[in-house]
Amino acid sequence: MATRTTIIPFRPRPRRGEKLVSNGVLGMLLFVFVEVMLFAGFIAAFVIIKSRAVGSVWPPPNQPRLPFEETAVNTSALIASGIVLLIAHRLYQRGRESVAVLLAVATVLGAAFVGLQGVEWVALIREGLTLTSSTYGALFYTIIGAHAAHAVAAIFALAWAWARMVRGRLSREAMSTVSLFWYFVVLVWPFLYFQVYL
Amino acid sequence: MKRERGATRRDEGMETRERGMVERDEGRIGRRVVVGAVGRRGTIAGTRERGAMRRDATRMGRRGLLGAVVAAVVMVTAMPDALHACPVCFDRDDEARIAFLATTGLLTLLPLGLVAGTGAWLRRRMREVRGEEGGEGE
Repeated sequence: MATRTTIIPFRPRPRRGEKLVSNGVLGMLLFVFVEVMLFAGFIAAFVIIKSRAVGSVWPPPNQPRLPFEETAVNTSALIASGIVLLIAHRLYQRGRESVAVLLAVATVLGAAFVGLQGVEWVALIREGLTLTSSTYGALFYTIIGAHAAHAVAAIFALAWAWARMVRGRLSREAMSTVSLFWYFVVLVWPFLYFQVYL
Repeated sequence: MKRERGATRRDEGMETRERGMVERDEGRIGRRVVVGAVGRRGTIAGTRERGAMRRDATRMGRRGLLGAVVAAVVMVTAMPDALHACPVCFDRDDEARIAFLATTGLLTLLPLGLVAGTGAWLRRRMREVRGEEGGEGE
């Protein structure tokens, strides 16, 4: 019985070089770009509405003032959280086995920021600043609320990263992706703080 | 295409080739020329063709640039006028006008900055990766 021989042409496998950016980081980068534009739009709307306030009086009469000094404490907690995460991220990228403690500290500081913001919001609502009380209230809750929503989502992401790191299953790419999200939350806050609270 | 009585495929090929050469001599550029020039002199014809196309593209580029310059000059000198529906041009309040201009600038430049920043970062990253690969190869 004659055997049929199949000749398979030789094809060299394409060389797979190192990826410039991991898929997760690229996806998060695109998401962050979109969110940056969203917050830029919010800031633009706020600046224009503020500039056209009746009699150039801002905040409008009969509306409570925003607690600039108290919020400075929240702001410092958020910035400290960002710095701690930056250190943790760098150490992890340089080959440190686990930075679970630093990651936990960053998460707790972030949660403290959101918690203090919540306390502040309750006080403002009691004073009469609501979403429907004025344009001022609507803008405040929309802008700061959008940031708070991002902060909460990023805290969940940090907690997820921490849980995986404790089990020794967190990849360097995943760490970078989650860190990028938190850096965005931290870096966008000073702009909102000085624009909305001042 | 219907073949004339008595004409062979070879004749048709010759005819096409001749037509192509004539068109090339006239300086025209077309697919037919390239098809017709395929043969023994295909390489030379192709090179000439590419040269002609490049010259043509340069000419078109120059024309386009000239048009853009003329359009820019017209837009800058003749067109600008206060737009009555535009809050940037028409607002009694200086603060509001500045706010409009500043936010327009912000929303225009921010995406460009983001794209440029990402491009610069990717370029730096690519150099790093290439440097590492070069180091491994040595």
